Amino acid sequence: MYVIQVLTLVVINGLLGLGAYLPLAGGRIVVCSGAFAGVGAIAATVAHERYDLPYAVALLLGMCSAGVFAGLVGILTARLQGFAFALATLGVGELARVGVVNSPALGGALGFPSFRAGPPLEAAILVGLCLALVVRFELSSRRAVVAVLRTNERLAEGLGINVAAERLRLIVASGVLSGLAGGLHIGAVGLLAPATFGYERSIESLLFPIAGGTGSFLGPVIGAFLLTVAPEWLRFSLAFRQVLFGALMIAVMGLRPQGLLPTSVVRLPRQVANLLAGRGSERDRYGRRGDR
Amino acid sequence: MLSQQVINAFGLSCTYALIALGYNLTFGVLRVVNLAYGEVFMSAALCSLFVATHVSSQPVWVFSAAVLAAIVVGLVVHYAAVRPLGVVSDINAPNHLGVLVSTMGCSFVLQGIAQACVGPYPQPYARFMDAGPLVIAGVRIDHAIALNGVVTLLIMVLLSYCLSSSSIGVRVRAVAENPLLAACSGVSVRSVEAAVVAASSAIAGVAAVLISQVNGVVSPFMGLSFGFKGLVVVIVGGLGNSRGVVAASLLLGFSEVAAVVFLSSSYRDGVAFLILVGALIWRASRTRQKWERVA
Repeated sequence: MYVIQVLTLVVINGLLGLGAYLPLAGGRIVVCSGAFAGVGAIAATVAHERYDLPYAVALLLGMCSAGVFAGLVGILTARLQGFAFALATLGVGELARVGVVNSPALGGALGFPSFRAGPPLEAAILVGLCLALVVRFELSSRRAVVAVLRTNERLAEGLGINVAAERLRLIVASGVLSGLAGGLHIGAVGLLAPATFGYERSIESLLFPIAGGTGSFLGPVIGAFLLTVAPEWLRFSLAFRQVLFGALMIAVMGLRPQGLLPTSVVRLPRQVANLLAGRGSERDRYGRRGDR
Repeated sequence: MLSQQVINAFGLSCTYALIALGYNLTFGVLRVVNLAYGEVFMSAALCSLFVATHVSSQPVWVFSAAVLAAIVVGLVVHYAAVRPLGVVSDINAPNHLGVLVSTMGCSFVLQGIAQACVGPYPQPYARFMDAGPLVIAGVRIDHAIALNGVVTLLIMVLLSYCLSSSSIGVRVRAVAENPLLAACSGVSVRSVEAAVVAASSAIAGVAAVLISQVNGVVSPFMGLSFGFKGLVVVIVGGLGNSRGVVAASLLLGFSEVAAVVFLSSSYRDGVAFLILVGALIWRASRTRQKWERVA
């Protein structure tokens, strides 16, 4: 059914968007979400096809291996800042693609065929679990710690925050989410090709939090929903879609860098978190400019 | 055979060095890296192809068309994607994420437009040089590679002469060193920025024609690979360090040819990424201070 297909795509893009959003919330741009998804997809496919593991276990294995890969990347690039970090992740993503294309054991240039998707209930449970963990993170005080990291790292270090550990946690979480997205994508599409998880996919998953807003997890989720549904609804062709995405990136960055969604929407999780912790709103605590 | 590969490697290095020069020039003044530079290069190549097939294939027209197209596209990208985000000459630090994303968007748009114009497949490029190779001391050098090398060296010499001795060069160096102070001294920072963008785009235009001569094909996606490799050269060599850029372009050129000769041609692109990631990690592991200045 068409609606199911679109819904699956929304879930996959939402997961990828969340995966790209987490390091972004901590102030670093990860351009290899596609590669994380690819690692997850390959691991899930190998587990499901070669070793005949159940679907949920295969997806879990995909998530774990993507997380491990992301952790490796995070450790290697731990001391890089800003632009250098983004370039390094771009390099890692493309290296991974070249590595996969050149190793027949991992599929080679043509990829694995025919991965049968398992029961959607298991996938839905895993997605729900991931979402619950993300929401838990959003409502916790660690989200504020991560926000300090993004604003000023020196300040964060001065406040006693373990910057390296927080960054590593963020990138591993990003890897896990992207890995799940990759596994789901394979189940939905049924073919694993290295080109699917390359540079374009990574930039696309970056676009979801950028266009939606990076203030909280609602930004990438709603952004992914809108950016997945709109092309389907308006029936754009693939090449035109790339131009539109590019124009959207330029427009968002130039005109409204905080994202297209209204700030009041994006800030909702933070207000909920304050409510739950009994902190009182930020406006009461810091005055009218309390959210700055 | 080995000398042939050495010549190829040297030609490839010249190619990458030219593109890296353009990045270097823009970064020195604007302090941001323009990810759409590869697409500027690609548009110049496609425009020169159009001129070569429909107007005339004389080198004069082909080069002029490429340079003109590159300058136009480069300035459009600059004013649409880079300027609105504020650059280093403003009081605030440049918005790195913003420029990264914005110029990436530009590159997508340009690729899409190019794809709409010529289709997604590579197009053959008319060569205006002799088909036969030069033979110097028993080594066969393709005319196109020789031209590539000669023009690259010429441009480098010209650029360093302009930067050190001409009045515009003095102004460019002033802005590169301290934009605020340069503005206070009466240098029009905006026009220097525009001049630098135009110059680096012109270099891209010339490089486009030379490289298309060597390769014989152009495609809407050639900007991706050449742009990225030029970026690798500039990052590995050090942003703003022209000697480092030369060394890094030689390293990349020779490593690529070595990979193709000793491993297989499918590893060719992987070499650039490997060098980039390795250099970044190695540098970061040495000292933190250096990178905080750059990034």
